[in-house]
Amino acid sequence: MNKERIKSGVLIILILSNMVLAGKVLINKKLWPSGYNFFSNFTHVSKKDDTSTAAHLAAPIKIIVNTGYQSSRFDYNRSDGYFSEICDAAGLSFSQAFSQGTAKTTISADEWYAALTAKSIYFSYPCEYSIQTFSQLLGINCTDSENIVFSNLIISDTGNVYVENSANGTFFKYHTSNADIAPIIAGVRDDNNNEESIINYSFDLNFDKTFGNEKTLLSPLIPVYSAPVSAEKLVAENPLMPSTNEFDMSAIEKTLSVFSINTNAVSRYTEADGTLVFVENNGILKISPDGILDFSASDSGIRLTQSESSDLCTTVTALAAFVDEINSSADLQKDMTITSSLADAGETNFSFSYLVNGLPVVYQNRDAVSATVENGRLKKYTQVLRKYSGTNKFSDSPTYIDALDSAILRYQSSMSEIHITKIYLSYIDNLSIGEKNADWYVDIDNVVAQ
Amino acid sequence: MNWSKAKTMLIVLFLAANLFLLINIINSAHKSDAIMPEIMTSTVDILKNNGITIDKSMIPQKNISVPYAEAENAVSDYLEFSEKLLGKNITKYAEDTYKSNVGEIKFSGDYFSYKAADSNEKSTDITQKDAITISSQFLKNCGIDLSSAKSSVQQGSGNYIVTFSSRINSMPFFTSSVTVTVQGNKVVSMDGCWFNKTSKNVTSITLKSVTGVLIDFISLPGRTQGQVEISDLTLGYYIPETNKYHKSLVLIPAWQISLTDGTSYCIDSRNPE
Repeated sequence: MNKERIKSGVLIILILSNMVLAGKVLINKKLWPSGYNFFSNFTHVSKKDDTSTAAHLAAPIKIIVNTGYQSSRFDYNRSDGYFSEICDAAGLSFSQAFSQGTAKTTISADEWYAALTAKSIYFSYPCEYSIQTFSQLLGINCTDSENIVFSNLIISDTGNVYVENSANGTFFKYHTSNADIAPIIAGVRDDNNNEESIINYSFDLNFDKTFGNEKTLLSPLIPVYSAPVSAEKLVAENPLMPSTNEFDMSAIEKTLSVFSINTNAVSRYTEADGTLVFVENNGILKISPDGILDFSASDSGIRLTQSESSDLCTTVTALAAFVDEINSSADLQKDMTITSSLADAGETNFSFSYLVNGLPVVYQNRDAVSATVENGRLKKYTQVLRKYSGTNKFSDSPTYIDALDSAILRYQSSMSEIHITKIYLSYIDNLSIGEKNADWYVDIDNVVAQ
Repeated sequence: MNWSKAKTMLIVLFLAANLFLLINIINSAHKSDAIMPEIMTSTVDILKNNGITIDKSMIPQKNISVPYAEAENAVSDYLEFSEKLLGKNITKYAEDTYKSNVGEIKFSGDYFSYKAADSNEKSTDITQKDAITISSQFLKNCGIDLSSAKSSVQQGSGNYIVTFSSRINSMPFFTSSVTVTVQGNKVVSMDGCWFNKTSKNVTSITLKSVTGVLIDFISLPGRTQGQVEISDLTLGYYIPETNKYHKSLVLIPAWQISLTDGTSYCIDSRNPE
């Protein structure tokens, strides 16, 4: 009996060691050609999940639900629960408007503004779109071939879609119907228990017109808030440099692989200011101590799309997926929104901003991500490496009027007329690590004030 | 079924299989290190057809791996280094050039060139050993770590020229060397660039086969053309661009190919796979 047990034991050991040795031989020999990794198909699947940049290329930056009363308008951003529900309902209206040969009529500016004062939902987008690119991003087969460029849309409570064509200042109304919009508007009103929420549009207060000596003009659709807005304070960190003057090399190597930089063949050195430089045949990648990543391709660039003649939708979607991959590899802030124009089919320069709590993060003189893509290849890429965490501490923003006054004061001596194109709540980041508060960001024609 | 007999047969079978796999693994490991003689012969022939002669015995017969190495520039900051040499009362009188009554130093990327103000002192009673001592002390005061350096001395006209060559992980660091001229009891000039080793990382880098490096040499831009003979093949580390300043860097393993005409070339020998 003992002998049999020993034999069984020996047999089991031999089988196990056989499996180990055979495994070693298989892994060493590799069953695939050099340079091809079978397992990369499982790890490199581009995830287009709900929070990804690629999935939000056609998402508004702000939604205002107009209940028909000027004293109760409610705004939502991507961090609010209602946001997705409203966007889903709107998608049906957009699909009807742009893909089913729906009749559209030219309307006056007054009718456009009237739609905002009636029961409707206003969508403000972070950039301009051509109607064709916007439709493609939403998976809509656009049948309208007119050159329409917009960054604002309105859907009335009956489902009509209103578009302002910023290419030539005309307005359109698509005669569509959507039974999902009215319940949303009613639901928002009920959920807020008929509370007052005074948001005026600039045109409501005639801020879009000059009178007498008044030389400041606001764009008509800028929302004007009567009360300060409360926002959570944030802490900014650079995940690639978790402690002072020390880079996290393993996080950096993961980031390098997104740029197809071979860590076995790259030359790595540090410049006088502490910037880490990686030089390879494909290009040069630099990471500065203050968290700026800069990549320049030496040859044709990193291939993003299958074809060199991909359309704008395919190009920007591939770029957004690339950005998502970097954010995932380097553990950066994942929420982003596109901010560069998608109006011109031949566009090659793109930019993105981080979003935290639905609010954009703005930097002085730079974007969070800026990239140049030509013929489906990434030629240049810059990114501010940041991750933002909430502190559970809240602060009220300065009042809207104070922010407006301070911007006007700054420029009135040097400008005969001040045209304010945008004012919105955002987090201002001066590239230092530490606490950040929300503040009003004022965009003046070719000049920006904070 | 006689299970006992079956077990015995299976034991014998698996024993044989394990032995076979073990021999296979050991053989594979040995083969991947060794360079086959046919490949060596083909390499020599290909080089010959391209006008390059090499003695086959010079080519290592095994593939090599070298330790990973990082180094820091001895010149961490141009101004700081200049003050070490020239004192605090220095002036910057041109781009990357500093001067004081002690002398002048000029920087270009990683390179520095120092000249003492009064360099007319004649060499009298110092020996070669003294020259090495004086120059070593001078370099140590500049923050240059000579613990693994090799030195060589040449007697010039009224002076000694001492050359210090850096070694890292017992291998030459081709780009890092300093030449010091000693006259009298004084260092009158110093030229070169120097990096001090910093990493304690024990990882090894597998290099590409030396035969591959020799084939790469055929198409190396800027090398001497025509009939040439390789006089030496040395493995070490190098920096590809010294016209730029590097505060610190990861050293690149390279084979230095020296020709009988006195020229030498470094070729990046990392295996990109």
